[in-house]
Amino acid sequence: MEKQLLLSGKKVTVSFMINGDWQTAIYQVDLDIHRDEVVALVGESGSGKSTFATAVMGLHKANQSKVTGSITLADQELIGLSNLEMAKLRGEKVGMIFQDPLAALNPLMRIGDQIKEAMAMRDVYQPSEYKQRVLELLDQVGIVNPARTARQFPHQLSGGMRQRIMIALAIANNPDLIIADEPTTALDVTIQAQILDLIKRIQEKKHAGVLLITHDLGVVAEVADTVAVMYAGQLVEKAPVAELFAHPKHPYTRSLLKSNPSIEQEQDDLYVIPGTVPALAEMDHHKDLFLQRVPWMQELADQPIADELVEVAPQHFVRGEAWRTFEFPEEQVQ
Amino acid sequence: MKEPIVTLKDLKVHYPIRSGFFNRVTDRVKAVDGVTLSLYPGQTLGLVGESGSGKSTIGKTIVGLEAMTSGQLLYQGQDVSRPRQRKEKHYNRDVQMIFQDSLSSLNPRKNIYDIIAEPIRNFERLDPVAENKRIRELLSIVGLPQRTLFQYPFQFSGGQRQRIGIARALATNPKLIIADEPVSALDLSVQAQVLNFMKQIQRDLGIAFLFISHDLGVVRHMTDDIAVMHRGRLVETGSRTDIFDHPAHIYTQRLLAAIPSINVAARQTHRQQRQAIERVFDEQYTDYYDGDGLPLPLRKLSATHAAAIKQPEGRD
Repeated sequence: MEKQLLLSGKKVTVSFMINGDWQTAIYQVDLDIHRDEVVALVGESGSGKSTFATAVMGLHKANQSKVTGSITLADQELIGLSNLEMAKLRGEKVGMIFQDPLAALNPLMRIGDQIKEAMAMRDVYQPSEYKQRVLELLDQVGIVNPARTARQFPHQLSGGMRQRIMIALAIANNPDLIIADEPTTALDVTIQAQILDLIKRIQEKKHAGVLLITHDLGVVAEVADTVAVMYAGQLVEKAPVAELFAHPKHPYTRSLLKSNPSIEQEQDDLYVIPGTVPALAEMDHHKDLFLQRVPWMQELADQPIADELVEVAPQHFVRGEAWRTFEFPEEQVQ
Repeated sequence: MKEPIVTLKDLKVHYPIRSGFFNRVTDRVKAVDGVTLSLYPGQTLGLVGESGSGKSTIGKTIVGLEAMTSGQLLYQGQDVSRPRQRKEKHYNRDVQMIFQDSLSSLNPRKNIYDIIAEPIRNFERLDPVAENKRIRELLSIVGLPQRTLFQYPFQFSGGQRQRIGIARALATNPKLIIADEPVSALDLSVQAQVLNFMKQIQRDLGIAFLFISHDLGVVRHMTDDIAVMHRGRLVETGSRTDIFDHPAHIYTQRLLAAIPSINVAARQTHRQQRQAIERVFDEQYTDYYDGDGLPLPLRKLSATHAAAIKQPEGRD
């Protein structure tokens, strides 16, 4: 059965004004999110994952950045909306969970009041209903004593509890789309597992779509349905989660998986990707930028390639042709 | 058996909580509450636990950045609990530390030459020519080009800065290096580079490592022996196989089950397993923790393996 398309990004390009120059942070990103789908956007820091999420939320400052392409949410075009119109959509249609809940919560407001404030913007409840609704929400995100927590301030809560509050805020208005930007990076593994379970459970219950931004391949394997891998501002590979981990194609995806210290098996040495991510000003997005870091494939690194990803297996998209010939050097194979 | 380089005996580090009108001590946070631990020459010991479990406090106490409330610190069998004793025994030269945040642990106003030279000038007093030679040698050990010698910390990437931190720690030919979350701020590909590199110097130079981390995948890759901490105490110690294949303490089991697996096919069963262990953790809590919620004392299970459990399994 075809799932309902929720968010559709087409050729999304974001540039920033840096030192008097427009520099492209993400280039021609195509990404769709359907109802009941968790899409993981994976990449290293500086790859542009958060830039994409920020563009969807319309949070880039208009005078310092330029967003082109098309982002539609339930057939409504988001690019070009005024701040006021965008503010209405945020919360109502899109909820966001940030990495650092302590920075995202108001330190001077009680938890209950913050959640109430998020709901009050929509004006759908009677004033008398808010209290009940706040307690319901806190209960939904697994807070043991909602009445007590509603009266507390953020600093009185543990990191895991704060992240639960963030989730409560994000889902306060039943959004269709939840964007979670590194939601568990600041948490311990045991808490991380609980928060991931919670996000998954809420997504299933509300039939929402989730855009999960993370650098942790383990987290991706645990919760994602579809994975999009990003490098230097572009998607390099996109596939259903099982397919991606079983048959990674693009050299970057394969290198990333190989450099991950595994808990299941012991390796002598981890694979090291040579070189570093190029600086923003040095990115030529018409080439496969990752090949700069593959010393034995330099002849391909300078060739221009198409922006679009090519479907190489059902639902499995890869950029460029380099993956067909890419191999790890001899000493790394053993 | 070889003599340990460093031994901690019943270490306690408590922080006072002051409140009220006279700012009196009203309570104590027991960051570390009775830890006994030995590090042998050439050994790599992984210290894991969640945040707040006291693992960093142990690392800081060993290098002397944190004062002990009670307990003993032995260096090659001699008491070095007091700063004075550490100075006499050249302890500060022989035990070095690598920090998590490479930017804040390097002086932004000093260039790399001076940063690496500092411990040498402090402990070795080489003449300028020998000093220069030693610094260039260290730079090539950590794989940084010679031309970077007079650059400043902000001009380097995170992975490079972490290697400068390692070069500084190696400068005095230490016997033990405490590495406190050395790669948790780095990206996967850079992390692999730093880990391989640390493994290599450990092999080549035979330095003992105390590797403090919350990431069990990294710990498994880096260390031979592992100690698991919870609430200021050790709950389990053992070899890598003991901990990963035969975890005896429920907290260790819980920690292992919580690690996201990259095996997509098994994610449903993995989740069920994890939830089952969470349930067991809640049900059997009193078998593993005392009335104050603190882990029980360690009990030896085999020559290498010890856990904070009530009684050995299969016996009364």
